[in-house]
Order: sequence, then C-alpha cells, then structure tokens
Amino acid sequence: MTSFMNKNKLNIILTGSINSYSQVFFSDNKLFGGILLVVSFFDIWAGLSGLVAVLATIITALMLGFSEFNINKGTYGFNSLLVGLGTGLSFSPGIESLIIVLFASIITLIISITLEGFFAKYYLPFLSIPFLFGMWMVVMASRDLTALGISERGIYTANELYQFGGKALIDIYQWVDYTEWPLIISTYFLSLGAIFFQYNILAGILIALGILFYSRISFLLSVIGFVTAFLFYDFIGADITQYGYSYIGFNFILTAIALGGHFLVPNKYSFLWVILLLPIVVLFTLSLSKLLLPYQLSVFSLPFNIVVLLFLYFLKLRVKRPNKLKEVVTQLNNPEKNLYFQEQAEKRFRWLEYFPISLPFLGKWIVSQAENGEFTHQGEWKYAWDFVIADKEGKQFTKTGDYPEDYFCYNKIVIAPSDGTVVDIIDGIEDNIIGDVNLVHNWGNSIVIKHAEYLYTQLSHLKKGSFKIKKGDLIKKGDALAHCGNSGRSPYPHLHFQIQATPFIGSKTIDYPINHFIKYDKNKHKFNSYSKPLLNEEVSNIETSDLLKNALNLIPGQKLKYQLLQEDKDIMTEEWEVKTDYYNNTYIFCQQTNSFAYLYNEGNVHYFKSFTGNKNSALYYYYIALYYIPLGFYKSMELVDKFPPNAAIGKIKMIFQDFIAPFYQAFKVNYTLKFTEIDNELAPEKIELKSQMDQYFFNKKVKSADFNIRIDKDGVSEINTNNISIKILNNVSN
Amino acid sequence: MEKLKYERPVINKIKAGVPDKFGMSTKIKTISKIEGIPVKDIIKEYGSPVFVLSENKIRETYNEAYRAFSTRYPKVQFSWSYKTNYLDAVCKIYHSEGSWAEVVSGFEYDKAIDNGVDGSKILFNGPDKSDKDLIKAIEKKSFIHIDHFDELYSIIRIADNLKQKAKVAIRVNMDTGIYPQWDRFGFNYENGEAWNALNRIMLSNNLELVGLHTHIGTYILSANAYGIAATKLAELAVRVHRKFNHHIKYIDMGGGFASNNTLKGAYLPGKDTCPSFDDYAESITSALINSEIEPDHLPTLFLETGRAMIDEAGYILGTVLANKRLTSARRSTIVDIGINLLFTSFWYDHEIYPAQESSQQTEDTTIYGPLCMNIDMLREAIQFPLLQKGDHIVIPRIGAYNMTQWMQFITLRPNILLIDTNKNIQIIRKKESNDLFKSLEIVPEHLK
Repeated sequence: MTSFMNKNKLNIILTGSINSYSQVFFSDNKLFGGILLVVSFFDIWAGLSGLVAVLATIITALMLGFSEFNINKGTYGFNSLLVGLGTGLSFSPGIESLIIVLFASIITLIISITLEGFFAKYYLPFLSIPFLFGMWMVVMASRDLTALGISERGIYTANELYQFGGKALIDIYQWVDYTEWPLIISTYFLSLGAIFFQYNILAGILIALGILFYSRISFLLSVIGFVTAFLFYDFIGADITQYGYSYIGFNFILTAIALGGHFLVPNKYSFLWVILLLPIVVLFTLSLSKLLLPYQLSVFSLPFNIVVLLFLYFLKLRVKRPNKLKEVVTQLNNPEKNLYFQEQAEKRFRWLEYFPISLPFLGKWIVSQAENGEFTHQGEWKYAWDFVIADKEGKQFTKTGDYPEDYFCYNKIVIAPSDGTVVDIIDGIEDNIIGDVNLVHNWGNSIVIKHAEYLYTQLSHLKKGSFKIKKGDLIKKGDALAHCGNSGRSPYPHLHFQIQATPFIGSKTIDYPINHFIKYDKNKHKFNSYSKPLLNEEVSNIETSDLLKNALNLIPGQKLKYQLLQEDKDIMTEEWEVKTDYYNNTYIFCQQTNSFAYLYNEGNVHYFKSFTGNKNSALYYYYIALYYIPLGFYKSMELVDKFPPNAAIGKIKMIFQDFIAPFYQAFKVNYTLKFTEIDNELAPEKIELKSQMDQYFFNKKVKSADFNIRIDKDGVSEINTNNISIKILNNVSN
Repeated sequence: MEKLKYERPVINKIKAGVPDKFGMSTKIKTISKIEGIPVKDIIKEYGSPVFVLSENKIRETYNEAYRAFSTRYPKVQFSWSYKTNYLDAVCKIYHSEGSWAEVVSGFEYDKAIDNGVDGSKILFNGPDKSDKDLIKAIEKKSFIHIDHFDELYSIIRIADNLKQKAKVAIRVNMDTGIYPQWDRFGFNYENGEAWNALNRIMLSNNLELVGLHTHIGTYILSANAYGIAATKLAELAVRVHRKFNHHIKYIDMGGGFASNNTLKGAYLPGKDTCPSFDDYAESITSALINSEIEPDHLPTLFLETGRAMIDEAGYILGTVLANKRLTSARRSTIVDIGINLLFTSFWYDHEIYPAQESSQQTEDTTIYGPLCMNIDMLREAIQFPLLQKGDHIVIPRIGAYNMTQWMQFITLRPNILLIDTNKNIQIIRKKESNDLFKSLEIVPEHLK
C-alpha cells in the first residue's frame, strides 16, 4: 500500500514538474515542457535553480495536502519556476543562492495559493502575479545580500553554453546568432527566450518550435501579438529594442496567447480583440516602466497580468449570453482543443447549459398551442405549450365533445418532467363545462415543481382531486403527478406546461428547451434534442429499450474486453476499463493502446464526447460507431451529428486545419445513425444499428465509412466496417 | 310500372294509438344492398346462399377499436384472433392495419406464418400445443402463452434442449365478478397457482417471462369486469418486479368483447345493451394507469378482440325455399341458410331481414334451414314479413366464427365474397365442389 502511494506521489511530482514548465505557456504538453526544461538549462545554474524551485514548491504543496490535480497540472509550480530561474541568473552559484531560491519559491507558492483563493471568487486565474511578487522581493533584497554576489552571467552566453552542450551547441549558437535576421524576427525570438531569462535567439527558436508543436493557434497568436506590438512601437516612434534587455517583449506574446486562444475561445473576434488590446499592453509597458524606475525594478510580466485580468473580469460582467467573444468553460489547456470542444459543446453537450426537462406525459400528444401561441401564450407567458391527444383524423374527442370525458386527453396521467420537489399545488377547482373558461382561477388545478435553483416547471388545468403527490414531496422523473383535466382558463381539456424561474403559480416563463423527444410525422420518427415542440406537432418522450440501455450503460469500474480483427485475422485483444476523472467525466480507458474515450449518458441518450489515443484501436472504432445513440429503438429513424475534425482527420492535415481553425473549418466530419433491425419488438435479443462517418473537405465528400453495429444481451457485441471488425470477448456470466 | 308484389292474406290484430311496452308496431327494415351492391345481383352471380364481407367495415371497426384504446393508453397492440375468422384475405386486412396474429393451434400458427406474419409477432395461445409446435414457436421467437403446468414443463424441457430462450407469458384465470368464471384455461389467480407458475418461469434458465394474459370469457357485457382483470394482472406484474426486478413487457387482456348481436334469452336487443369499445377501453386503461406499475415501464396493452371486430362486417345472403303452416297454426318459412353455415344461431337470435321491399304486414314465423334435421332452426319466433319462394333474405352481423366453425353437412360450403374498398366483389373462398370432396376420400381396393 505504501509503495503504491509513493509511486503515485512520485508520478505526481514528475508530471507536476514537467507541466510547470509548459504551464508558463498555459499548456500541459509534456514534450513542450521537456523542450522548455532543456532551454532553461542553457544557463546551467539558472536551470538548476529553476528545477530546485519547482521541486521544492511541488513537494511542499503535496505534503501540505493541496489539490493533487492542480499540482499535477503544474498550476502551482510555474510561478516558482520563473522565480527560481530569475534568482539563479541574478546571483553567483553557491549554497547561499540555492537557499534563497528555496525560500523564494516557498513564498511564491504561498502567494499562489492565497491569490488562487482570492481570485477564485471572481473565476479569474492568478496568472504570474506570484512570480512578480517573488521576483521583486528577491531583486529588491539582493542589494543587501552581499554574501551572494551579483552574477555577471548572461553576458558571456557562449561560455555557459559550452559548459552545457560542448562545441556542437556553440556552433549552432553561433550560426544562429551571427545570421543576419530581420529585426522583427530576431526581436521575436529574443522576446520568447526572455520568458525563460534566456536572451539569445537559439532559445527563442526552440521555444517557438515548442509552441508550434503544442498548438498552431498559439503560435499564430504569438506572431500576431508580437507583430502588432512591434508595428505599434514603430507607429508611436518608440524603439522596441531599447527595452529588449528588460525582457518585456514576451508580454505581447503571452497576452496574445492568453486572450486569443486560452481564456477565450479562439475565433475571429478573439483575434480582433488581441489586435485591439496589444497597443494597450504597449502603453502599460511604457508607463509602468517609468513608475518602477525609481525602485530599479523591471516590469517583468506586469503589463500582461494587468491587461489579461482586467479584460477577463470585464467580460465576466456581461449580462447577455456571449455568442461571439466566448469564454472557455472547460479548460483543456490547448486552444485547438478548447475550440473544437466549444464547437461540440454548443451543439452537442447541451446538458452543460440546460438541466434536462422532458415531456410531462406518456405516449404521443399533440401541441395545440405552442410558444407565442395565438390564444394565451403571449407576453411574459409566451414560452409555454398546450398539449392534447388526437386520433388519426386529428379529432380530439369522441361522441359529441360536449363533456370533458369525451376528450381523449381528459383524465390521462401527467408525469414529472424531471427530478425535483413539489413546491406548490392548487386543487379543488371544478372542471369547466366545454366552451366555458374560469377566469377567476385562471390556472385551474396546478402544480409547480422545483428542479434546480431558478428552474421550475408548472403544469396546469389538472383534474380536481387527482393529485397523487403533495406539497413538499420529492419526485423522480416519470412519477405520476395528477390527471389531465379542464379546470381554470381551459375551454376544453388540455395540459398546460411551462418552465419558469420563480416558484409561483403563473410565474413569467423562460426560454428553455425540452431535452430529447421524438416527433412523429406520418409514421416517421424524428429525433429531437434540446429543441422545442412546435404547433400541431405530435411528440412523445423516448421510450428506452432495455437492450440498448443495458449495452451502453457503462459504469465506472466495469471491464470490457474486445478483439480487433482485420479480414478475420486476429490483430489485437484490448482490455478496457470504465473510469471517471476529477471532473466526474466518465471515460473508457484502453490499456493496450493507451487510448481514452470520454462519454456521457443522459439516461435516454448516449454520447461520446472525445477520443484521444491510437486511431487503429478497437476503442477508436467503438467511439466512432457509437458516437451518438438514443437508447430507444425507433425503426428507420435517422439522426445526424458532427465529429470534431480531429476525431478523424490525419495529423498532417490537422496542422493545416489548426492554423485556420479560428476562422474556418475546412474539414468537416459528419455522423449518421440509422436504426435498422430489431428481432422482436417486445422482448428483443438482437438490435442492429448502422452508423456512418463522412468526411468533407471544403464541402466535398472525400471519405466515408459504414459501421454495422450489433447489440445483444452481452452489450455491443460486434461492430463491422470494411474489412475491420471488433467483437466482444466478455464471457457471459451465469 | 312494376307489377305489385303478391302477398298472401294474413289476419293481424290492429295495433293503433299509444305504443305498448314493445313500442310502436314492428317496422321491418329491408337490406336490399350491401355496400351499395344489390343483393339480388350478388346472388344471381355467386349463388345462394353466399357469405359477404365488407373490407370497409372491417377497417372501420378496427380503427374505431384501435382509436378507443390508443387514445387512452400509450402502447397498444391488437392481435388478430385467427379462430374468429382465418380466411387469408381477412387476416391480411388486419395485418395490413398493424395487427399481430393470435393463434391457438399448429394449423393456425402455420397459417399466420404463410400470411407473412413475422414469428416475433405471433401470440401462441391455447391448451393444445404439440412439441413440434413449441419448437417452431421458440425458434421463431413467438410469444407462447402457457395454459397449464404440463405445458410449462414441456417448454422448459424443449428450451433446454434447444439451448434457446423461450419467450413466454402465462394465461391467468380469475374471479372478476362475472358468471360463469372461466377456470379451465390458464392458471388461477386467487388460489396462487398463477404466482407459482410465474416463480417457476422466473427461476428457469431458458424461459423469458414477457407477458401476462387473461381472457375472462366471451361476450362479456360488463366492461367493469375487464377493469378488475387488468388490476389483478397489474398486481402480478408489480409482484414480479418487486421479487425479481423484472419488468413485464405486455399485458394481454384477450378478447370477449360483445358484438351487437342479441343472445338467446336476452330481454333487450344487443345493440342497446353491449358496451362500446370506449367503455371497455376506459375500464382497462384506467386500471392499468392507476396501478402501481411505474409509469416509465408501462407494459404494452394487447387485445385479441375477434368477435367485436369482424361480426359487423359479415353477412350471409339466402333465398326462401318454401312457406309452410305448422299444425299449431304457426307460419314457418324454410330458407337455404342452415345451422351448418350459421353455427352462431345456436346462441344468438340473429336478425333476419328481407332483401326486397314488402308491406309492413308481418306474421309470427318460425324460420327453418334447409337441412333434413330437426335441429336446423334459425329463429323460433320472429315477426317476419310475408315472403314467397324465391325471395331473398339477409342475415347481418355474422362475420365472427361462422366461417371457421361451419360444418360440411348435407350440403357443400358456399362462396365467400369480399367487397373491397373500391366496391369490387372478390371471391375470397370458392364454393366447395364434389371433386374437391372426393379428392380427399380413399375407397379401399376391395370396395371399388
């Protein structure tokens, strides 16, 4: 047990350390972190100081019991790293200097955690403010630290490089340094290097390559940010190189990456704002330098911190839901991933935004008055629906229709649209005679259910004395509530359903969709997700099929075994385990191929969210084929969805796609699902589905793949495509 | 001007003034056309007697019944009771409307398969299922409604041998407050037999319990009885779920809905006393919806209504053979429709109508069939107009059971016609011939 704990902790220390390097650029890419680690060792003593600072910080944080997740992501380490690098570079090597690094890193950690607590209330990051405090403290104190001796390194770079990498490195360094670079390019590289206190072009080139490797969008932003600032300097007549030595060029690069793609979803609007904000960063840089000059302090990353924090806070106070300049909700530490995820989330992961509300009845009902209805759904009550039952000919009643009992919907059961608590009930109002309305008790017998904060549903015109629940009851989705009646402002029996933000009967309605439902059009089924039933449409909830539900009910801890076959030859056997991460996301992990498929199950619909790993694995085919499955069988029903482009497009093509991603999606990948066969409608043993993935390049179909899916009592037992098939290997347990 | 029709003289008591307890004096309705086609033309072309079915009426009644249930309950499935009328054309009309098949023998099972019904849409009922039938039903994934323990053991044995899951339901009989209580079919609810059977099914490896079935009787005039039956089945479903965490997929309420025929001995005509589809539907669906079954696992409601679905769509047309005065001075009329063709006349007082206009004079008449058998009597006493030899008569509402229970006795079976939705007459079963009859017989060599 203890050895396991140690191994786990060691793992956190290692990944946390490497991530502390890449986190400087908001990344958690380990290779990028590795490049940065190497670059930091261009000055061995500085590199060592940085590493010591990171390790000291991470071990302290871990021992004190701070969030392992944040430590792992490098969130706490990167400020100390910068302080360590800066300190190591300022002082001559020696034990005294190391001790200072140690203390400086611990105070940086304390500041980081404190600021995290402070900023978290505003949903803001603490950026590199801890570094500023830590570094300024060291710099100001350094004048009294006579035992340490100010270092003169950084001036004789070649000497240090020789120590680190020998003659070969010196040759590269000299070739790079003596090449005549255009001013704008050399300054760009120098500014990048300066982030790691390396004032040379080679370091800058390596970092630039690292950025390009981890994110094309970030690289593009770094260039755009820098060029904008450079041109602005030129425009206002200031000399950018004059300030070069004080390491300020990186402010422009970091601001561009942070606002253009990290904290905001990268798109043309975020790019535009980067261009608008950078002159402001320049002005801050110039003015703050003057402010700090009396204290002989460098501005370091102060302008970047001020502008990014100000702008993020400024955006948070918007009242309307942003649809152009969007904040990243789920931070994936990569602008491409953030962008693709955001595009997906908007269309597919509506549960992130909406609490699922289903239809409040059994079977098929018809919308007799929709939103903005001509009769009563107007003004503040416009987001509401009236439902009735009609026969094939569209008639709502039998006999003469003179009595409520003649109406098909009368006395039908009304069910809870979602889990919640009953907050109000009105009962005791008599049904009206057909054609009459009761304007005194407008809503008739009604019920209001609280589902979440500021989310209530109201059902009205119910039958007197039919309530099966009472005020205060906890109810579950699908529980019987009452019977449809004809009380209140109801000339003929119908069910009124509305969603509101306040708990009162007759509250103002809110614009809110129904999560999933089936629309019927001449025996054709159409699947609808997070949309609204329209006038005269016949709709029902999804009736789940136990076989489908069981096949895709993947519970954390569950183990699956699949065999991958190509032309009937056994290629590989994969063992999967269903797990959950810190954010309570469920995923399937494949041990053999180190692949992850994130999924979500809404009870009546199964989604795959994303996939990372080996695209020749059984898990990948599983992910593609079962991307989006409603868990009820509706023969011949078809639905479409979109994959993120990186789900299917090759790596080289993706580099091209990534560069233009904020502006245009050149590669589109569509998903189609069709319910083909069921062997027995009531007690099925086998269900067949067919899914399809179509790839488009500039709207031209370039590739297509079919997947035949077989579902039986073992779950998803087989998926076939072209010459590849995957088969379940789980032994049936009796 | 057409010559006035001769009617024999008759002496009748004058009934004028206020109506007595039987209402005004009897007015005789005439049915001269079926779906707009004159009866005399039909008989001229296809002979007498002849059965006629109306496709329009079949579809209309089906839709009326389906509407009554489907507007009250989210999942409804009708299943055509083959024994009521298993003419292929008739079955196919029901299947085209969406009905499954309900069969009670290997013969009917094969018929359903021949009619293109998928095995998974057949309910297999009845006390007589051979091993061969059961193997077929298990392999084709049909739903087997178990009638007795011996059958249950057979299915367990066969399913184990086949290593296939048999999809089963049990038939349950119960006290629903009506008389007679049918207890010869299925397992009894009150004495715990049904619960015992359910436990045995749930605990056997190769049986999948899918449904619960009851059929409380035939020609049930109380819709309320169905409500009681549905409540009891729902209780069983809830008990199965509580004990085994298993959801029952369907509840089959069988059939037995009354048609508008009048039972022998009934005081009031069937038209006035029979509940409508809406009455039955209200009673059954209310019971299910108000039961303790969870709303999101409501079982599909199956109905095997036969009689009430097709009775109204069938007619038999015939001809008067002779008039006769009995020794009791009662008038009798002999027609060419016998009980060999009209089996249901044993329990119904069938309405019999003239196919041509007549005066409003009637006489208390006994109507006999053509058979040389004393029991061949269609109506013992009916106020009947004064028809002559060669006149045609129409007996409506005979679509159920007659075309399956008929006897080849003394005469051969006549044509069966279907008037389709375009009002074209189609022969759907040819009249039997001597050759056909002979073809089945084998005379031993020594008698030739």
